[in-house]
This record gives sequence, structure tokens and C-alpha cells, in this order.
Amino acid sequence: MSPLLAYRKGLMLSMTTDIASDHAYGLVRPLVADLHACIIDACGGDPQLWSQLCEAAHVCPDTDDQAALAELVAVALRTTTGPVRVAVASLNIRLQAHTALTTR
Amino acid sequence: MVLGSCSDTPVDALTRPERLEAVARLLPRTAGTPAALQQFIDHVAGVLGAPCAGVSLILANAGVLTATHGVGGWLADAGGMPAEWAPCATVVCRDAPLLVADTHDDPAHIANPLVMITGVRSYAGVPLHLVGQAVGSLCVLSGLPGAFTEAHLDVLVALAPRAVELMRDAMGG
Repeated sequence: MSPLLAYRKGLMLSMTTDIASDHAYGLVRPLVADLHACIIDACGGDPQLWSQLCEAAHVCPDTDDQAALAELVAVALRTTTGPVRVAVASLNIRLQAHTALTTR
Repeated sequence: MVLGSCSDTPVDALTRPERLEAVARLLPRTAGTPAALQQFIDHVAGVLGAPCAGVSLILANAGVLTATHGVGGWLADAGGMPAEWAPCATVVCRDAPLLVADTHDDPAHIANPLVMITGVRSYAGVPLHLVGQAVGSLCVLSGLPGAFTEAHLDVLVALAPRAVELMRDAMGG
């Protein structure tokens, strides 16, 4: 192993201790605001879609309630298509990974 | 970081609209793995002698596991992982096969939480293509270093089109 590689590996190992002390390994739990942002971004800025999703999920469009997030994600996965649905599914995986890591 | 070696920035490479359109065409609408796809990934693991194998779709910033063999625990519960942890995202980002002989000897992987949590040491993965876009990866993993070679990549390359075919079938063609 080259000295540079050994140095970088040592650096990484010291970082490992910090990250590993966090049960989610640095993964941040997505918020309703993150879902809002990813949907708006993926649909090209149309604010109507967010309103429609909130109405279908029976939640307030301005909510920051984490309990509403799962319902909003479920509705969005059922009702959207194309890149919007990919963006929602992507956020959902990060949410599920966070939950799985922090509850194991 | 796993995605650090892409020629594009990782975000640019994964969020190109034409790639996400292609991914959307394969993203399952129902939970669970179709029987034919499950049989396929079991076959892949058997042929390559791998304890773990997977078919992944790489989304905007996460990877979803559409079929797995030998995968359990939090990863099975989550059904995927953040893209920045996923070697399969590097495969998609580079649109090229990836062989990692030993994650513990690779600065790009040693601090990867996937490696730290699951203990994976070896990885071999090849891109899955739909309409010319790299949408995911067919991969095998092992907890032992040096488990896979270029020959394993050749087999995965040969099997990759069948994985896409089965995912298309599951979406109704």
C-alpha cells in the first residue's frame, strides 16, 4: 500500500468512528419540506400538484408534521408518474432506510 | 465517498431528465418481487457462487432493490439505500462495470456506511440499460475479499439484458 493510500485509509478510519456513532450513519431523515421541494423541482415548479396531493392525503399544505409525511408519500407514489414519481420513490427509500437503521 | 469518481458530478449524472424518464418506466407500482425476477436473481447468485445478489434501480438520490438474493436486515426492510452509499450508483454514474476486490483496501469505500454496517468486502456490478440510459445495476456481493473477478463481470454483462426484460415484463411490457 502506498504511503498516500495508507494516509487516506487512516483518515477514513478515523472518520468511520464518528459516523458509526450515529445510528443512521449520517443519513438525515427527510422532512415534509424535502418532499415538497423534490416534487416541485421534479414537476417543473407547478404548485398545483402539491396542493392536490395534500388534499388527497387530507393534510394541510403547510404542514411540517412528520406523521403526515408517510401519508403524503403513499398518495404521491399512487398518483404521480414519470420523474415526479421517481423523485418521491427516491425520498421514500431514504426515509425507509433512516427508519430501518434507527429502529434496528 | 462512493460517487466521488464519476466524470459528471454525481447529482448531474443521476438526475438527467432522460435517465429519470427511463427509470420511471421500470419503477414497480406494487410491493414485492415478481416470481420470475426472483428466480432470475437466485439463478445469478447460484451461477456466480455469490452469497448476495441484487437488481437495483438507481433513482434520483437513492437506489431501490427490485430483487435480491441473500439480503436481510435493515437493507431488506428499507428496500434500498441512499445513492451515496450504493456501489450500484457508481456503476450507473460511470455507465460501466465496477469491480471492487476489497472495500477495506479502497479509500473510496472504507468509510461507506454500507460497508461499515453490512461488512461487504467484494462487489461486482454491471449497468442495466433501457432506451440507451443506465437505469440500474445487476450485482453480486460477498463478505469475503477477492470473491469476484473480471470473469464474473463478463457473466453479469451477459445476464444484464434479461434483468431488464423481466422488469419490463413486470411493468406490463
